[in-house]
Amino acid sequence: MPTDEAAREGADAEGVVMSSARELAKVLAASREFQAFDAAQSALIADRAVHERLQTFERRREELRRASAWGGASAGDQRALEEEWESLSHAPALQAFLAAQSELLAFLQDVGTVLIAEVGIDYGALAGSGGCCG
Amino acid sequence: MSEANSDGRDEVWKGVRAFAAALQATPALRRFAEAQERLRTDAELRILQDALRSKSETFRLAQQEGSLRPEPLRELREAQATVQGHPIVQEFTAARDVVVALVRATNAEISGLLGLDFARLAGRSGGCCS
Repeated sequence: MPTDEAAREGADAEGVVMSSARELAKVLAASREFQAFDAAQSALIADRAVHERLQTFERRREELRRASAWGGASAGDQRALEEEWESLSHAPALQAFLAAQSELLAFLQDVGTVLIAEVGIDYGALAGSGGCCG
Repeated sequence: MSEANSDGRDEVWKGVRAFAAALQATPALRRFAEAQERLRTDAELRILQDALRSKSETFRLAQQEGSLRPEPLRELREAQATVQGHPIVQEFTAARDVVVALVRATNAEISGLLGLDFARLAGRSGGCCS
C-alpha cells in the first residue's frame, strides 16, 4: 500500500538523519577546536585554586543577579565582583579556557552557518534554542 | 577518534553536508519546504495577510488615540483567525511542528554526545548569554 510505503520511506529517511547526526557529533568531537576545548577545560578543573575561585565567583554573580532583581545589590557589590573577575581572568588556566571556548564557539557558528545554507532552515531557531538573550 | 587528521576540518564539513542532505531527504523537510513555498506565494493568502496588517495598524492607531471602540480589536481578532485558519497556514504550521520535532531529536542526539547544546551554540545568536 502506498501509505505503508510512504511511512517506511519516512522511517528510513529519519534513521539516516539520526545516524548522520551521530556521525557529525563524532567528527565534531574529534575536531581540533573540541579537543583543545576539552583539554583546556580539564586543565582548568585540575587547577584547583583557580577553579575554586571561579566557582565562588559564579556563585557570587548569581547571588547578585538575583539580588539586583529586587534592588538588593549595591554598586559596591557589583564593583567587587568586577574586580574579582579582572583579577581572576589573569590566571593562565582561565585565559586558556576562555580562548579555547571562544574558538570553539566561532567554529560551531561556522558549522551552523553552513548547516543553514545547506538545509535552508534555521536549525538553531527550530530547535528552540535561539534568542536566549531576548 | 581519527588520529590521522588532528585538525578534522574536512571530516566536519563532510559530516555537516551529509547531515544536511539526510535532513533534506526526509518527507518532513520536503513537506515543510512545499508548505513554506505555498505560504510565500499564494495570492489569496497574501490578500488576507495584507488585510490583517491593515487591521493591526487600525487597532494600533485606535489604541494610540485612546479609543474605546471595540471594533478595531474585534476586526483584528477576526482577521487573525482568518489567516490562522487558512488551510495553507494550517498546513505550514503542521509541517513546521514535524520538522521541529525532528530537529530537536537530532539536536538531542548531537548535544548528548558532545556534552553541550549544539543548536544553541551553532545558532545565529550562539552563546550570547554565556
